[in-house]
Amino acid sequence: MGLSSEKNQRLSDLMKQAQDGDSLAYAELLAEVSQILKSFLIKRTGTAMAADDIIQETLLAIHGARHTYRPEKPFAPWMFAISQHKLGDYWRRLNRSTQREVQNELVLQNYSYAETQNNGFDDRLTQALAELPEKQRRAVDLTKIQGYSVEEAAQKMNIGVSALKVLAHRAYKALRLKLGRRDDGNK
Amino acid sequence: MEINDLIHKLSQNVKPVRRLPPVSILLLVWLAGALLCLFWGVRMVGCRLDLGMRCCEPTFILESVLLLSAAIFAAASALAMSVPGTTGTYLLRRLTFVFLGLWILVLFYRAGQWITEQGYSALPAGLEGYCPLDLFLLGLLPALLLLVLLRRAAPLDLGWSGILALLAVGSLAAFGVQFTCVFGSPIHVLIYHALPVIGLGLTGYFLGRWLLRRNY
Repeated sequence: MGLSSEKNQRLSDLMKQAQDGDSLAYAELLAEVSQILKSFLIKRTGTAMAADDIIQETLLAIHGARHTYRPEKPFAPWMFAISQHKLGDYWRRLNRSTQREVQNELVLQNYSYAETQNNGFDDRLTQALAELPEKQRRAVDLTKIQGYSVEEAAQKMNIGVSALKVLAHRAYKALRLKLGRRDDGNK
Repeated sequence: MEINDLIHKLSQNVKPVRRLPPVSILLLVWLAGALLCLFWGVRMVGCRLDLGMRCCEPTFILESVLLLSAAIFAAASALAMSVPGTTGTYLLRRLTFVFLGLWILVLFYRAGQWITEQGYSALPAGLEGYCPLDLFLLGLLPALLLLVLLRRAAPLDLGWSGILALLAVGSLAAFGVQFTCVFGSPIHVLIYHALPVIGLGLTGYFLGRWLLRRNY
């Protein structure tokens, strides 16, 4: 987890200019930081989507904390400290969302058979599923409809288990919103 | 939002910033301000009458040095942790707990000796007095000053920053109370000085997560 001294110096100079209000230097710095962090975070999260989320959070944190960077110090430790912290936040959120997944799944199960038969729930669920992004739809399809375990589904999609859980959690959340909204509309 | 959109938005709104001073300067600023407040606070509360005599006692000197060292290392650690990427924070944290631990060990040793000399029947006398209020009053202004400095920086680990900040303030207040507290019993010091300092440190975890939180 290190950059060459030339790269460090370059980023340090860009940050110094950014601290003085140079917007071009700042844009260049943030673009380079995003590139550096992309491979670093993909290795650690297993998915480009999660890496992108963390990169955005890191850029926001860098923006808010840029006054704390001292130009005489190397840039990489400062940048990676912020990024590591955001990565830790991501894992903590994922752990919490894994517990909430069970509750989200129960939302779908809470619709009784009679309700589903009486108000065309099957059609609404099919439509809601079709509106999901492809990866999320596939995650739900593999785990809930075709009945694969999380590990098997992750293998089929060529992603990590945690990445699959993130996709499934987002899918459940979206489905809950869509089905809840439609229910409100029908009342 | 796409990353490129975010970069565009952030760079468009960039303004010059005033760089945070080095951690050593922040620490000196806090120490100077905190000791000034402490001096003023001790004068307001009133020094113990036997201070001259107590100052010559080795245990008094030892406890004062341990408390002041714990306060300095705790504050240094909290301030260092508020600047991302600062090295050496783990050592500073360790040293804080070493000095605090030594202080408590000294108190237990003195308590053991006191009970040996006075006997268990003297224990109620050792429980006299109530210093947490003095601790709170002496520590309030240093706490506010440290909070301002920490919020000016960018602490990432809010829980630890809060713990260390309140340990710094608590240790400094306990150092100040040494000059005002008239009760010499080590049992009193353990219960009414040491326990509140530890309690403050634990509270710091929650206060840190609340007061140091920023949206970025």
